[in-house]
Formats: sequence, structure tokens, C-alpha cells
Amino acid sequence: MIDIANLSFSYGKNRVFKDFNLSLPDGQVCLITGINGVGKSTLLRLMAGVLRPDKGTIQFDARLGPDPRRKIGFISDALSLYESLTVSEAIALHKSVYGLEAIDDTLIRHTKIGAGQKVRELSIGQRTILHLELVLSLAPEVLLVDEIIHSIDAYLRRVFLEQIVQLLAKRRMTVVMVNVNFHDIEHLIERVILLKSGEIAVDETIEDLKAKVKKVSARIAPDSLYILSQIDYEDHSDFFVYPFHEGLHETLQGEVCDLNLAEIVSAFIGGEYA
Amino acid sequence: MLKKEIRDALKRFVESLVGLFIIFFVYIGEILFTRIGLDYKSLVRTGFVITLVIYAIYAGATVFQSERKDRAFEYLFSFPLTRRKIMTVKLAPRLGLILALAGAATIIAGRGLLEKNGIIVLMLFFSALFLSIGVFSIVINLCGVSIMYLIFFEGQLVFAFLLSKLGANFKGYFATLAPQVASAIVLLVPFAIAFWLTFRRMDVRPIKLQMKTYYLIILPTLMVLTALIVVFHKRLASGL
Repeated sequence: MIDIANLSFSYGKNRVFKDFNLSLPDGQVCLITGINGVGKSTLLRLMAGVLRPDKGTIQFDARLGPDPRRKIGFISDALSLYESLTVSEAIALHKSVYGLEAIDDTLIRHTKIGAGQKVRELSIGQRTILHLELVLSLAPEVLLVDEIIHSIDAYLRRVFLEQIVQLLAKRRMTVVMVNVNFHDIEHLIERVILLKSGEIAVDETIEDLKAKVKKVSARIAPDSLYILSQIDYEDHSDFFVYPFHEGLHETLQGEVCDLNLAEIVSAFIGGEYA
Repeated sequence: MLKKEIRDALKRFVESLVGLFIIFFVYIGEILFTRIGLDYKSLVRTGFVITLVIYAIYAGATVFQSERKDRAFEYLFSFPLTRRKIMTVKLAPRLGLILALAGAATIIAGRGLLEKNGIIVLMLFFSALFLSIGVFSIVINLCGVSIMYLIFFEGQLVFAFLLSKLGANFKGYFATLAPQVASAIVLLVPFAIAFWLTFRRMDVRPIKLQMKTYYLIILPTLMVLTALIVVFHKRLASGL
């Protein structure tokens, strides 16, 4: 359980969150999304303990111990590691800090990362792999994943996601992802949270969201529905509507289509920019 | 973590050995060219003092250099380590090397070296350390340390005078040590408080957004100490 209560945070005069509240139960896989600069990565950093709230609290389940960071796996977009160390030194440092005996190197074995290579000599993809491997070796109870895993290739991304699926099958790990490739994670996600101006604009389970966000292809806009965004064509327009319910099928003129997660997020974000 | 910090401290130490090399070349120059009668022992003593001073400042100023250079503050702060533990792990090897070097210097150059310079070396180390949190450049840090040394130097004169006025007549080694310790404490304690309050709450926000408390403590401290020294000198000049 992660319980965020009355959280306020700012970068100098730039306020990101004010009295923000969010509760994530154990074992839930959650996607946080929203337009750039809305505070998604900041929220992950606050949860990871590398940023400190100006006000409010972030509490973790008691089973994570007095210092929850021991059981939090944080994969940030900064890919922060000691770059001047070699890969083997970086692994040794990680093992000594967390008291680990060994590191599972399934992902590293798939790449051409050499133990003697300096971290700064690695490509972004290789650094991401190293980071993922270090984080997964903690057997985290909470996994926070920023959008950086875009930078690894499709095969390794699949291997990584398979590892997460295996971990989720073994125990109730809470996973919070930010804007990770939606096609890859759609089958994992249970809850979607859309941030807008530092507040929660949408908070739905994936099933509810898919039922409530639809594409209506019609000549004229459906007047009874809130349109998130629209794409205009010569002879018709695609209207992305929310919230939709089954009873509307009869009254609507036009074709109603289901959307996948990527299209749903795109519809919401398109509306933000419009 | 400790292993990495020991490696960092040793790296800085090796870089600081340039002081000994300078002395070596001066000595070679003396033998081959100048022949002005430079004494080998005093050259070695000077070499150790220079190396100690260079290392003390360098070790203090670079305490967060690997995090800055490697952009690893986020990684460091994600470790399940308290800030106290982080500082302990960072300081232990650096102070250990200073003591080892001071010990070696004492064996080679005699006890007098540490008696005169021990507190100064520690003062320089902690000055550079306390400045390092807000000063990225080693050159600017060195300028800051120089200013702090001037205040420390003036401060020990003030305390030597005050202690004698109060009737505390220390003798021998303590006559030098007591004013030095008093001056170092008065100067370094506010800096230590400013450093710790800032570091304790430090996160990965841009550092300039986190320095308010630090500047609120050290700027008035520097102004007050400078004013006190100026007043003291004026009153001393006018016969008190």
C-alpha cells in the first residue's frame, strides 16, 4: 500500500502538486500518464524518496520496513549511476549497499555489456539494461518505472516485461509506470491515472476506461457527450468521447469503436493540447 | 560504498602528491644549479606540509565530486542509507588519509610539524568540505577556503589576546593550540550547522533551490566575524 496524503511540492516558485492525494493498494499495476511537465516523473521521484515533499506524507506498507527505499526499485529517466565506475564495480557497489549476494544478470547476458566497460561508455539502451538488472535484483515490493524503457530494443523490452510478469506472479508487487510503451504493457495494467495541472483528472480501472472512452465516427458531433478530442476528415470526423455508456448506442448517429490503451491516452492528451 | 569512497579518497591523495614532486624537483635544482644551501630535511618538511594542505583542501572540496561529475545524486539518495551514514562513509577514508599523511610527516619531520599545523590542516579540510555543498568549482572553493583561512588566522590573534587578558596563560604547545582551536570552532560551527541542515534535507532538485538555509546562516556569520575582527583591530590600534 502506498498512501500519499496532502502532498505539496514545488521546484522553487513552480508549484507541481498542492494537497495531492493518491492511494495505491498492494499488488496493483498502475499507469500514470499526462502531458509533458505535468509532474509524472516528479511523483515517481517523490515516491522513490529522492525528492522530499514540501508538505504532506508518502507512507508505505509496514512490511517494507523502516526505510522503504530498501524495497523500492526505481528506474528513473535520468538513469543515474556512478558513470566513472566500471560495470563490475557498479554491480559490486549495488550489492554492498543492499547486502545482496548475487545479481540476476538475465538481461545483461542478452547484451554485449562488458564487465570492464565504464558505465559512461555504455549506450543509453545498455545503461537502461544495467539499471533494470540492478533494480530487479532487489526483489522490490514497489517498482517505479519511468518512461526510459523506450530506449531499449523491442526484444529486451519484452524480456524485461516478462521478468515483471514473473515477479508479479510470485508476489504482490506494486508497480507504477509512467508513459511506458502502451502496447507493451496494456495486458499488465490494472489502473490508469491521468494527471492534469498537478491533480488527478482521471482515475479508472483499465476495464472501466475502455468501456467509457470510445471513438464515434460521424458527420456531426454527438451533442450529448463530452468530446475529449477529435480528428477531422473530409467526409466525417472521429470524436473521442468520455464518459460513454452502452445506453447511448441507440441515440448516437455514427459508428462507435473500441479503443486500445494507446488510443485512449492519446485521446485524453490530445484534448489537453487542443 | 565504503570501498568506493576509499578509492575516491586515494585517487585524490595520489593527485595531491604533486607537492612532494615539486619539492623533489626543487631539491634536484638545488643540487644541480642554484646551490644556495637548501637543507634536505627542511625541504622534506615543507613538502609534507604542502602535500598535507593540498590534500586537506582537495579532499574536502571534492567530497561530492563523483556525484556531481557522474550525475549520481539521484542514485545516491535512492540508497537506503541515512544522511549521517553517507557522510560518515565519505569522511572516514578522507580523514583517515589525512591522519596517515600527518603521521608519516611527524615521523619524518618531527613532532613540531603537527603541533604548528595540525589544527590548520583540519580547519582547511572542514572549510573546503562545508563550502563544497554549494560551490561546484574547486577554484572557487579554494578562494572561499582562503577567505576562511584569513578569518581563522585573524581570529586566533584575537583569541590569543583575549585569553591572555582573561588570565588563561597556556604554555608551550597549548599557547598556540588554544587560540587556534577557539578560532576554528567559532568559524566552523556555523558552517557545520549550515552544511548539515542543507545536506540533511537535500534531494535531487537543482542545488540553487536548496541553499536558502545555508546562505541564511553563513552570510551573517561571515559578516559578523569580519566586523568583529575589524573592530578588534581598530581598538587594538587605538590602545583598547
